[in-house]
Amino acid sequence: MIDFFQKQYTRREFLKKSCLLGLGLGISPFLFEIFNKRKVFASEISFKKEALYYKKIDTKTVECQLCPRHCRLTDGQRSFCRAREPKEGKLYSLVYGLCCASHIDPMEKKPLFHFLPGTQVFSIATAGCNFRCKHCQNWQISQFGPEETFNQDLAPQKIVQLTKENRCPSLAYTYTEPSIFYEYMLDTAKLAKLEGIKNMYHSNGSLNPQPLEELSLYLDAANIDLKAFDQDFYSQICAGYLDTVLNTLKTLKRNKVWLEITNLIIPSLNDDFTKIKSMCVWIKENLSDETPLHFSRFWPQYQLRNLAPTPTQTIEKARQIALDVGLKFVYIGNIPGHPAESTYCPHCKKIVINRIGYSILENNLKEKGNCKFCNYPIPGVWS
Amino acid sequence: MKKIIGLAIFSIGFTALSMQIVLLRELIGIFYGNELSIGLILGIWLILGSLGTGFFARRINFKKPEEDFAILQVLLGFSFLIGFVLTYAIRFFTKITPGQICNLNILIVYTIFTLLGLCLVNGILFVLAIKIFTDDTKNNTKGIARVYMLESFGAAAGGLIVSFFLIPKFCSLEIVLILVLINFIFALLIFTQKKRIFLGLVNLICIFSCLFLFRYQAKINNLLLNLRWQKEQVLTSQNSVYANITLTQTKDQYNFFYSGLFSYSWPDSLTEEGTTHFALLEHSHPKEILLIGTGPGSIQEVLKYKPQMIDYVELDPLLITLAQKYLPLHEIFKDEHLNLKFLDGYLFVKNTNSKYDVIIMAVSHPFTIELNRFYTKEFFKNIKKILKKDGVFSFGVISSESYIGPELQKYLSCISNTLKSVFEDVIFIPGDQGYFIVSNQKNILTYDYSILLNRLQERNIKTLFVREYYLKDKLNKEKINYSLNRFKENIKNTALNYNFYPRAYWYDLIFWLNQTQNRLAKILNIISPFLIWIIFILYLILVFIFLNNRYKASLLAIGTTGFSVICFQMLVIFCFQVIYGYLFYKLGIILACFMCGLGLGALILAKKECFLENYEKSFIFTQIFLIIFPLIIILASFLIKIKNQFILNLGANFIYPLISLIAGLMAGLEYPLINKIYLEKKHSITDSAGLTYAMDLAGASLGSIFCIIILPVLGLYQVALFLILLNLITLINFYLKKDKI
Repeated sequence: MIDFFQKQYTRREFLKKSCLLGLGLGISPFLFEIFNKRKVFASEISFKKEALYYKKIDTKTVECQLCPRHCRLTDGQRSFCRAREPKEGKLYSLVYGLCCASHIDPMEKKPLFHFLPGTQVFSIATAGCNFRCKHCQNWQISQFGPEETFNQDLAPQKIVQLTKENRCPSLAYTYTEPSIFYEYMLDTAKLAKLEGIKNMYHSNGSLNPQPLEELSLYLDAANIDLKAFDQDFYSQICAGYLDTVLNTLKTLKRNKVWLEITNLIIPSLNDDFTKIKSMCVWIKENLSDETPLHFSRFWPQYQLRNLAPTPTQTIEKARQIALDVGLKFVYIGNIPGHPAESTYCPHCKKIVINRIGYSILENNLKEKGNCKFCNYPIPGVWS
Repeated sequence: MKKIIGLAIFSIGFTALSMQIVLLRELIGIFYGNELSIGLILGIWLILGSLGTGFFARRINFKKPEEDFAILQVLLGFSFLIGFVLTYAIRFFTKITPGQICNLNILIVYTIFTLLGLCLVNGILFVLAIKIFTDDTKNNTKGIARVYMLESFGAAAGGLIVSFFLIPKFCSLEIVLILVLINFIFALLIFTQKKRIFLGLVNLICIFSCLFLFRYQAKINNLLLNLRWQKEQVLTSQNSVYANITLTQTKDQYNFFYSGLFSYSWPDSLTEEGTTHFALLEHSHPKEILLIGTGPGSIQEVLKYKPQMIDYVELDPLLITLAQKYLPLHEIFKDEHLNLKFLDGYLFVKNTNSKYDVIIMAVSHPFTIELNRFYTKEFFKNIKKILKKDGVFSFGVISSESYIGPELQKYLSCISNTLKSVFEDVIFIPGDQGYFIVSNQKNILTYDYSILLNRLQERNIKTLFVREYYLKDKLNKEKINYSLNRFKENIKNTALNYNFYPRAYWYDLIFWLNQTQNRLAKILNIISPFLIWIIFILYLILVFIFLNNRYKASLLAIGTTGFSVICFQMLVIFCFQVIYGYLFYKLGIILACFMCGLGLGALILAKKECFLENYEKSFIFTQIFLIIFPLIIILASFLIKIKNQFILNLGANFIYPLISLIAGLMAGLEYPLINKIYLEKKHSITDSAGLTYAMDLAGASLGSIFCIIILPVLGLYQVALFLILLNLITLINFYLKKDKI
């Protein structure tokens, strides 16, 4: 093959060949263009909604102040969460009003067990996430930008209207990380509150204190994923920070937002019982022993498809540890029919809310949330 | 002396191909074992081999060829061991998260890392052998042919012996040690012949340490298993003729890994109930039931319905043997209504005369072409034939409850459309594990959960999951409509899935790549038949412009031959897999026959003078045969329509091996012929052999990757056309330029 280039060409031959080669090479990019244009995506992104929390570093650079990543961006650069981009010195939220998933779910699915039990909740999400969890259940939306997903144009007014039409007493910001569509969530939550609809969000807790304080004004409940009590796990599996999550938990508690915590136990990655114990102790000392804690079963997902599900015994042991530490409401998730799906009165030990899966079989609570049998006040938002 | 070297070359062919089979199984076990991965691994193998022959061998000056040969053979033995151990140490070196499926970048880098030593040494040995056999004179094409022949026959023997004798009897480590020993022993023979006492002694030490390892293989095997599985508690890891099955235990839970991929755990009532009860409740009186690969837990669920007959079809008996041995499920296997049938599900469905009320299938998603057969129009038609009039067929698919993206949409709507083209009624139960349920008649299937609930209560069946609380949520109208609308949106864009046009496999591949490497997924998304044909035309133009003398044209011919032959080989394997399914089991025969063909081709050249004398004519003759060959493959693919057991067996044991042999024969004939043409110029023999062999292998490695990508895009028939045209161009180009020097 080498002697290709060693041969002396006549001038005419050389010109002829270069022209043909150029022609061939010239056509190919056009062809690629043609194929690239066959867009399968539903929507174009737009720079309409300016972000609320960011600061200008210089004329070209902005720094996002929403989450602890503090992305520094210039024109054309996308944020880590794929939902924000600056243009001419201003940072924009690209996902405002671009809802990629909207469903009506049972409240127990969020999971929130002490918040309007047995009601339906209107749930929304947009594309993007500020974590990179290898076991993400919703990776099809969380690990892509808004230009790559199917979206619906749903303005906050429309969302509130749909919530009312479907007779849902509450609205949930969930599926992906809601902080990345912060402006959208905040505007919707404000409107919903005016209409008497309650707001809840399911988050990884990775939001800076200032925006969190503002959001707390409108939130009624939150479920925060405490993915592990271990910064190494956060770095290696999620690309996140434990500190911020713990801060978020404390802030939400201080601002009297109803708080529940989910801990997904993944075999061999975060099933270390000593760490689970220190997590439970932390919750008891910094939040309250009445904070509900959900231990959830891992299911092979996304990039961790080659890991077997969590054995029931592991989760039962974790629950026992939490109860021994003194937490009063510890639940088991993703194992249908397990007795630990129900709420037990910490005082008389009787079942106050009997659950199987997302259904409520009996509710033995009085109107204000007291136990029917011993009148012990069960904490939560019951109406 | 030459006899011993000849035997040594035979042994190298033997051990190298055996090692290839063993290592391929191990690599598939640590990576995602789809065709793209296998193709990449084989491609890397060939590229590294061509580096060894084409690059290194030409630069090394061998002063004492025989001794160097022996030393290299000892090195080859060591490189086997190193490569083998490296396949177990992947987590140690790459630090990937346990349970994470490696992406293709890791696969490529790590495979190169594992195979580098082995392939280079093997390649250099090949050139060295030629040097020993030819004494570097110009007209010694026969020498090349003889080396080629010996190596190929060795490889053929290796393929057969490993597949049928070694793998079922020994564990991988033992096989590798046997192969290493063979190499050491031949090296020792050469050393003693040459009276090199010191080297011989060193070699003897190697042999004894190898025997020592053999003595303690059980312990070493445990060490290696721990290295691979790290925190998992491995109960057992066994090879069947089909795959490696590893059973691990976490607390009270047993996990089955098939070829290194998690397949199911026990107990897991969520999956078992979902797989079985939806289908069984959709039917008004399920009595005769067929289960295809659902796993033992599902049998337990089906038995709750007190059926008259359960036929359970499973390919690999080892799965059931292990389940019986380790899981506390002895009772269900004793049930008199249960008939276990160990054979390929596709063949069973095609050939059975029974009829069923309910058929439940739970094979993996179509991530390989073998699995794709369970999702094709042809398969669904066969299912339709064995369903009773009001029968119900169901299987699970990967889906998502809250959001179905573009890639998942294509995949699911491809399956949905294929089902709709065969069955009267198709319903879908959404979820992260979705279920398609289909029937031959309208108005049998229902989304109404109260009907299903009634049946559940009437039949007095105790379940944890599929019951009032979950049925209502699962059959939520809003979610069902969401999924169905997503399938409908895409009705025009997705082709149906056929046996020889595996579209579902392609969409599944892109969906998978999206999870690990979405850039590559985007590139693959662009590939369409139109694009491939445009590239082909560009290639055509370039060929006619640049390859303007007979040497270049002949080099191109060897490249395209390497390319075509590997494509033929892959098409043969593809067709074989589609028709018979049990690929790895018979892969050995097919590969062996191919190698035999290679050797035979070289043998013919060595014996028949006239062939070499009229080398130009011979070359044109083989090239014409390459053009005809794709048609033979297409003819053989029609075996799928045949039900007659005798003809099918004839196909598996005779026709396909024969086709494979002919493909090898073509490559074996063409290689020395081209050398001859190329040697007209003043190249030394090692030089020429190195360069042409490198071209051959480069063409082959390109072909292996290319074929895997275009096969699902074009389908069998268009790929055949592509290959016909490719070889036609090579021939025309050579014919036009054969007089230009």
